[in-house]
Amino acid sequence: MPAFAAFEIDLPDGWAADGAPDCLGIFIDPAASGFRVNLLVGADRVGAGFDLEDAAAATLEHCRANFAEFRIEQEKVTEIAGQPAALRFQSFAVEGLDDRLLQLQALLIAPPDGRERTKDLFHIDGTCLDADKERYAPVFLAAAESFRFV
Amino acid sequence: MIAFTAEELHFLAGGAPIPGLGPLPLDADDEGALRLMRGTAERSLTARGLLGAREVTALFEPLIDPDWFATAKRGTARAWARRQGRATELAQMGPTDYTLSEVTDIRARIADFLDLHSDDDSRGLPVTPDEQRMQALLAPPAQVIEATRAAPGDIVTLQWIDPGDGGPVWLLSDGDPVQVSRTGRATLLATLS
Repeated sequence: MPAFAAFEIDLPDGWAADGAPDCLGIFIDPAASGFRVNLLVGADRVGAGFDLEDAAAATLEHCRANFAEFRIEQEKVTEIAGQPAALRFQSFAVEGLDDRLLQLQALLIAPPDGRERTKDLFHIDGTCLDADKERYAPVFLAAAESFRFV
Repeated sequence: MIAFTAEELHFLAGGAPIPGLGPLPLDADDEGALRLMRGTAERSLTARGLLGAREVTALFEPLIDPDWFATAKRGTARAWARRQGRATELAQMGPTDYTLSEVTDIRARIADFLDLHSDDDSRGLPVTPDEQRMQALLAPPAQVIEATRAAPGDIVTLQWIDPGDGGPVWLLSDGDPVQVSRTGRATLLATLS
């Protein structure tokens, strides 16, 4: 079976790469305080008929069902790695934290590689305290826009 | 002032042209991309409480069916549209990011954006610059700026070189060879507004 496509992503100096379950990689800002600011890259193999609008709607439904006080801040589309991409800034509450969390979720589908029945949906999720959004939202956006397949 | 993405503005306009609005961020001929842009715009506008909001309708009315409008490009795009005494300014903030705001003094806003505050209402005769002169006129910090003013039966499109020194500009005329006219900034503002 084909592996998920290899990728590169640019992050600010000082960020550390790590491994974690259920994702391809996680990147941490060790300088952050109060919350472990992170950017996670994951991928799911989906049916060939599943498109990005389906993914945007499905992930939204998942977030609404699983995150307390979930709120969309803004959604927009762009291109990442030459592919259409869906971006959503969203925020939600987490038990044990006084502040809400802000999250950028970017979704894109890897370019066709000859498979007929499946394709790979990549997601890039950056998460920080809502109070730190002025600092980290541009970092998450720049990182997502730097994502590329190699 | 309300911020919108290009896909939100296209969605709200329902296919009607909006002065100053650039293309969609993705290929509109791609059915999947079009579906994504529509869905994204609708979700985002709904979440932000802007779908059907009275203030959005008020900002859109002059843009959708203007009695008069002007557009300009100076690095980024800007447009002003007026309908029955109400006017809206569209400002491009990024490749596919815009703001809409109510505007009362369109002339002042055009002058601000195009740096046309001046009392110089001179209008020089057209001259044909040679290549060397043209290169000198276009040397940095000079900028080539274009603007259009439109009302039913009356469309004026202008292109000029702004030397960036606050003095007269060089109005470019169509044709071969290209001609330039030394023109006061107040003259230009009067033509556009």
